[in-house]
Amino acid sequence: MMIALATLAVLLAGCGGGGGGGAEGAQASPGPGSSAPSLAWDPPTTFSDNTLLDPYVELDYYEFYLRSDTNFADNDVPVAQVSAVTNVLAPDGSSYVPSLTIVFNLVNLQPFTQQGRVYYLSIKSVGMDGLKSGFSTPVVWNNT
Amino acid sequence: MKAKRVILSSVLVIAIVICASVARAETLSWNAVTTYTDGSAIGSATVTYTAVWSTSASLTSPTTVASGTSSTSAAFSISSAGMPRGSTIYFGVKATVGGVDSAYSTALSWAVPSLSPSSPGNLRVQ
Repeated sequence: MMIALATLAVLLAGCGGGGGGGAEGAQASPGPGSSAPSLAWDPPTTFSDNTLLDPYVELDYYEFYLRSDTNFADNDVPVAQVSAVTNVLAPDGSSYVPSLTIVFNLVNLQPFTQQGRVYYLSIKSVGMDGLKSGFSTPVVWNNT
Repeated sequence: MKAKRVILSSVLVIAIVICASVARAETLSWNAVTTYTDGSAIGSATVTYTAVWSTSASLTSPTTVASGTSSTSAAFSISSAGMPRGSTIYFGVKATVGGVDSAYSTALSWAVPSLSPSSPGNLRVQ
């Protein structure tokens, strides 16, 4: 199980979190009329000592963790990772602007889960110097 | 007016003062320059300072922290300055009197502090 999850981590890291790949893959939302679930979050704005953090500058990526219980532990292997900031096409169509990644399409995890089961998700933020946050408060995902 | 080369770099002493505030402002400070290289007093002439940082101890390709200030300190933000957390950088300051620059002070090394980010908040499935 852990090997499979580790493999997914590598795959998703290479395609920006899936959802079609490309620069906006991590933020890709379901198409019109689709009910594909996604995981959303608020980017951190502080460091562990409560000083201010600029997520555009000081965050590198997020790690996603998946378990069938809430016992997330330091030796858990992330199942996916996505860049904290992606460049999206500006309205003028001729330049790119940085955009915070705040959504992850959970369809990316379905090949590695079983339908009808309940899972718990948690994420970590990783700074530009490689230091990681603790786990976010887990949320339940009913993979129906 | 007698022209003088300005200021021994060794006169400058730089000290980093870390202010652990919510705004995460750090302050680079240094001693005021009061003499020319020949030891004579600068007197009432205006002295301005330029403070820089670099990832090189020789201060190559420096990035300006403060320029043309008469203050002997400069506040900066690690984030805004783009300083690499977890790495060592070097500060230098030069003084200017009457349009003549001193050499940079002896570089001061500083380990840019590493900090873990907080975890993302408001995680939700939607």
